[in-house]
Amino acid sequence: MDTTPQPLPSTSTPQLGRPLVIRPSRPLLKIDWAEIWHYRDLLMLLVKRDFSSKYRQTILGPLWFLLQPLLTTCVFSVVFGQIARISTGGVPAILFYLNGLIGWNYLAQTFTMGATTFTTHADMFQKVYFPRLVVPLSILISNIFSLLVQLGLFLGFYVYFFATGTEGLPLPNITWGLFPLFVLHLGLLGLGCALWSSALTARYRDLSYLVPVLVQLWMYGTPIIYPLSAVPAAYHDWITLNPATAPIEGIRHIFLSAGVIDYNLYMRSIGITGIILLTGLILFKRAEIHSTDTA
Amino acid sequence: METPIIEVENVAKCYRLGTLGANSLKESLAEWWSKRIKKQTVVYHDDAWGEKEHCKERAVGKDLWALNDVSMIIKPGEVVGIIGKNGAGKSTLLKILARVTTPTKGEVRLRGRTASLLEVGTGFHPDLTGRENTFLNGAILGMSKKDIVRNFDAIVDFSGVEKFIDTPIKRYSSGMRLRLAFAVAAFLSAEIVIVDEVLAVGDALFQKKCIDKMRERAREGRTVLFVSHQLAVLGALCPRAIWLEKGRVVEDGPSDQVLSNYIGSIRSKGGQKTWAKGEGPGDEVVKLLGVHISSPDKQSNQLIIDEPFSIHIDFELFKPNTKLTCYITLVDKHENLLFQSASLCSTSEDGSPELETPYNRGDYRLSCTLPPNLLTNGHYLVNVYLAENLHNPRAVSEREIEFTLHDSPQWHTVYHPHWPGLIRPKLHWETKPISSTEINIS
Repeated sequence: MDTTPQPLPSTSTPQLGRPLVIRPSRPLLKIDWAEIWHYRDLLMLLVKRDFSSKYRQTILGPLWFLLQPLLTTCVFSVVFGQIARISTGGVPAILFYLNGLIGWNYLAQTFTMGATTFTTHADMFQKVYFPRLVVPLSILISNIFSLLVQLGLFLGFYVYFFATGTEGLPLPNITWGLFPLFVLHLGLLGLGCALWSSALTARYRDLSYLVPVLVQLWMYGTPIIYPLSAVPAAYHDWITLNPATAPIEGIRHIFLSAGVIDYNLYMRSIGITGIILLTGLILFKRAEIHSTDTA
Repeated sequence: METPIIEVENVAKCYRLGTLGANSLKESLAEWWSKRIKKQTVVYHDDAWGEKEHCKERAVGKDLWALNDVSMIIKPGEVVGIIGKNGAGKSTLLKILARVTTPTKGEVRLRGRTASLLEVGTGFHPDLTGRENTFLNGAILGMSKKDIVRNFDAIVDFSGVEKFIDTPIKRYSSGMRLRLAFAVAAFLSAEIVIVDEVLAVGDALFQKKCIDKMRERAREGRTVLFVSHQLAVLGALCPRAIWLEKGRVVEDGPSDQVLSNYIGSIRSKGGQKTWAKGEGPGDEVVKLLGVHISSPDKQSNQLIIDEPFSIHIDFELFKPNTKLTCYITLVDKHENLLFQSASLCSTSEDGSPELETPYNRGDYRLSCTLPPNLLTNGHYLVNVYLAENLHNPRAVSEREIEFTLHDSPQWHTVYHPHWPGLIRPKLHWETKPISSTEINIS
């Protein structure tokens, strides 16, 4: 069918321009970034909604942003540090766990929250069109807040341990500037996983039960509660295939001089992240078209 | 010719029945298994035009064509009403235009920003305040923050909830929530506005306000597409109407003409219907012989609102000792179901419920008398259902009997003919003087 826009005669409504064509679905990787930019206000309002609705009618309110990682760190310190006595590579346990959790929580939260994009917004998607990608993107952005809170928490403990003369802690240095890049990497990885799982759960609801389990397993498969150096050589190939390993180790390296940054390891991680993100976008676009007919 | 703002070209939409809703992984794997491994061929559906279809079928007859070869051209500034019975494809068409779903085939071209109101208050979050929700809802509908800020006072003013604008909307009444939602929608700046039935909200006063607002938008030169079951509203608002039936366009033209043809199609011949013995609707237990309507002095379906009238149901019963219940429902011209009445609610002469007395084989007449001053003037359809043992429907007559209620002559001279409301009961009113002490007490 001829789709080239016809030259239009001038009419009383000058905004008539290139028509918007609605056609049977064409599952292609064609994302209209200009359109997403047009909906940037919606994006930010969704971020605001996530933030302000989350802690309404709670006693402690936004304090939970602090308490959650703190409690997790305490549990880790007791269970893995005191009871199981897993090595933290000579770094104080609290700093070690908090450091690993900064990046990991960002990834995990983006993944789990984004996974339910189609199921939690089904009513809205049935009624109004807007680029669906706005929803996972808003999750990516709204999680930055808790990331910053956790970074602050970590830095607080860092200062405490530094002041009390713990050995081996690096001084603040220029490599700290790499932190946003590691975070971006983890965020995009989480987004890719969220796109995958949301597209699949739109079709197979069963998978929504799987995501939390998967995230949990993935955490144990990532050097969060143990250093990469403690992994037996037999498992080394597997753990370096995990795209989350490199940026998590990177964050540990710049702040604690403890992790391993390996150029090859990092390139592999970027490659895998790219594949997950790209295939995730394709699947998401397909799900976007079909989800309203099967919801 | 002026460039159309909406062009719909041979659009069709197929839904697969039976497996609507997300499939389970197991089912999909089974399908994949039979397709790939057992090399079974997939049956394709041949559609009305003999083309190979995209709609895969696991069993013949599982596809539903919600829209079938629908085309229309709408020019800028037109206000078009879409009518049709439930399931005619109206909502599917609007969903395609609103881009929440895609057509199975065909093409739609839109030349302008589109705001779709398939629902009011989409995305309202109960924990957020009225103000926050106004911004969120506006953004969901495609407004920029700047637009919302500019119109915010007008929106709040229109909704009439200014006192509660900083209260979470979970504390709003449903009416308040709808008013706020409609107010946001009323200030959309899109060139094309698609509205589905949302005006059927709120009290009569707010409805009027909404309809006036829609008129105003139309006068500003916006293109409005409007679906409603309230034919009177639709007729008043839209100069042009499109009538859909079973996914196809039946008629497209001036709304007076299309509406009257449409109403004609859903109406029957008159106030009585009789069938020859054994020919009426029903089965081996009971068959209808006739249904008719009478006022006290004559048999007619032209009735006056302050006179009682009766609906008579004649039937022949084949099965002895049958417990039979008759239900009637009344539907008005806007498709509102006004009430249902069942014969078991009445009692026979000796005071026992009808249901307790089984009928024997033979012919019977059931009569149901409606009191005067119950319904308002207008046109009504009667549905009759005969059921065995309360719940097993045996004979059904739907939309075959109609009657018209007219104002009584006295009434007509005093008041405007359009008295609002679905019913018009005659209530007891009295006036008496009161002293000032009584006012203080109350």
